[in-house]
Amino acid sequence: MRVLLIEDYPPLLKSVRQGLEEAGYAVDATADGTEGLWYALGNDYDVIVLDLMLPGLDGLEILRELRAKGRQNPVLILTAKDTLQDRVTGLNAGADDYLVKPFAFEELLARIRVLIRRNYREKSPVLKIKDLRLEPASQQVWRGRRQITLTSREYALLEYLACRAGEVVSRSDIWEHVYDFHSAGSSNVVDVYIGYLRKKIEQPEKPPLIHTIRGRGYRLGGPA
Amino acid sequence: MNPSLRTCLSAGMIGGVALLLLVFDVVIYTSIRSALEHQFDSALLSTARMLSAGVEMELSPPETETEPGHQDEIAGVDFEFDVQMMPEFHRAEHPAYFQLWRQDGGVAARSASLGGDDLDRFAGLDTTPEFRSLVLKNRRPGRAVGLQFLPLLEDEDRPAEPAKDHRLTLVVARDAGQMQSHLLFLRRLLATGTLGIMLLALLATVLVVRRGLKPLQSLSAAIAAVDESDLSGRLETGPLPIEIAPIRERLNDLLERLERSFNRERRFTADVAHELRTPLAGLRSTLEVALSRDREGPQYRASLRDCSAMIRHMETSVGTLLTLARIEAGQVSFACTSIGLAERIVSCWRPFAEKAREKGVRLENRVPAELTCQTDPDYLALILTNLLENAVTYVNPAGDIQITAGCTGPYVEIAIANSGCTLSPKQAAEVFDRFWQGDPARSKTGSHCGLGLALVQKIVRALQGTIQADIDNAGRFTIRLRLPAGPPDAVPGE
Repeated sequence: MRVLLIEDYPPLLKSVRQGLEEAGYAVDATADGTEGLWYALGNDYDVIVLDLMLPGLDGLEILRELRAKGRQNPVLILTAKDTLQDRVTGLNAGADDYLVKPFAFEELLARIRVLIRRNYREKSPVLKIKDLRLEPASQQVWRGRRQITLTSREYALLEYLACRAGEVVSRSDIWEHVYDFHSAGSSNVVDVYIGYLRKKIEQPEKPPLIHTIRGRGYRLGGPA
Repeated sequence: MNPSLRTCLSAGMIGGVALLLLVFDVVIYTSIRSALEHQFDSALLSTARMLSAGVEMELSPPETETEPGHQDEIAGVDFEFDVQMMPEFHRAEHPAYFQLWRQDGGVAARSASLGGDDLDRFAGLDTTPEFRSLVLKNRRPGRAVGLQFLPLLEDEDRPAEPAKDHRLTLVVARDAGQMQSHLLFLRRLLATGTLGIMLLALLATVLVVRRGLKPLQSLSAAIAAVDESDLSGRLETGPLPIEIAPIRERLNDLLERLERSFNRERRFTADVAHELRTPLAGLRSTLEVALSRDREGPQYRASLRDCSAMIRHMETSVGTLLTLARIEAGQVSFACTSIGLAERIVSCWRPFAEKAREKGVRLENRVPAELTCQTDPDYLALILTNLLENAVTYVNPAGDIQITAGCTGPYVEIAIANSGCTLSPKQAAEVFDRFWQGDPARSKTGSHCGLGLALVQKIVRALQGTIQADIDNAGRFTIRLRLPAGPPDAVPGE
């Protein structure tokens, strides 16, 4: 899952970025409003974490601009403005959630997960595809009773496929949602990681979970 | 409990009406009574005069003087009394009475109605009649007149000699029941009228007082409706009487001052919240992320260094905000002394000299060495430090910073200019707004919090000076600072 972080206080930007990356998200981060809008319009982010008081372009202006252009990416406002009026204004401008600084990092992660789940129309905090089970909160994966250990990147890839289980997901979609702006390489990397995933989750005695749809991409589980 | 305005007004009005009515009643009653009595007395007196006109005195020898048995004719005194003309002395119901005395006290005549009884004997001096109220023989109220007179002499041959001994005393009394009942009726009428008027006055007072106090009640309701969490509203009561309208105006003035003060407080709180929440959020998230898993020593050290920088940032913010708040609340006192400006600028520049060298920035200090100004040295240092730090931060690499100063009238004018400003000329005035952060470069350093120029402006104003910023089209940013050259009191207030 790919997250855009727009926050103008450098130490906060740095730590949130690190925390999100360690939680398996692909993170693009910027301290400037104008640059933030440019990022947001250029990529399909799963969540945008937005500060309100920004140099260059105000957070609310970014939000309004995004919504005016028809972009529906979930936006979480992260700000020191805590009055009721501020919250209402933020939510009315099209924000999906509002978190006041200072905040618990765990809560930020949980709220981001909720936004992602909602975005992919999932209600349950656990993703299930046949006997494959993913728990985004703890990033744990089971196949049957066996727990599977995945790297952050592998987990991120599997979670994205699981969120869109039954759909054919293109390489470029995967590239856009699992890798951040600064990732090296190209969408071929995706094939390599699909290979790693297959080795870890497929079991020879059971039918395959990850299907390759030639010329179009991959699908997790049977057709929807 | 203090008496209510309503009670005071009502009691005052009712009491006043009652007193007026009482006086009115007394005047009316006494004048009507005296008029009735006067009328009655006149009639009584004319009866008495008629009776006295019928008395003739016979100056006969003493032996003929006593002739008992005849009531109307007593020896020496001839009393001509016509029952037909004056039937009142004979009638059975409410009769009138008279009695005639000689000078020696002997009764010369009395009316038949008296039977054998006597009336009180009294008379005014000489021929002046005297009137009295009394209780008649039949226990009814009556009124009597007593007078002395000289009767006519029967003997026409001899001239009448006025002699005191011949004087007679006549008392005529008459039933005054009817007059008394008229007066009683008058008393009842007045009492009933007074009571009725009092009741009406009471009703009117209650209504008038209630109506009169309505504006006060509506004002009180408007005051009660003021919400302490939102002072932006004003007392709206519709038209008020001119006596109360000023109260509303004063209260509205008070509300406005309170609102300004509350807003200042609220803005300060919001500023504090923002200034402290952001680094707090940074601290918390840095620490939580650092603790979220096992790390190598250098990673922990990097996190701790970040935390330490954030805490220093918070310290600066708190200090600045407190100074701002104190200046706004007028709690800062200045100790003004004469300060050599050029020297002060050099000392304030020192911390930034290294940074300026790194950026290749040239400083031109053109302040005349002998120029002094009368101001607080600590706050002047704070102002200069902030302005110079801004200049060093925002000047373009290899640019220049220019400081000039001179005396204009009662002020010393200092101008600090730097090249390489990226703001538009229109943005010049905004630089003094709190948290206005024109340049993204600001946030890279983390040390500027957008409060510096707001603080400088507040201090300068408190020092009775002025400050303004302008930006020319060549990207030259100039801050012009005017401070009093002499003692602060000598300068007309800004």
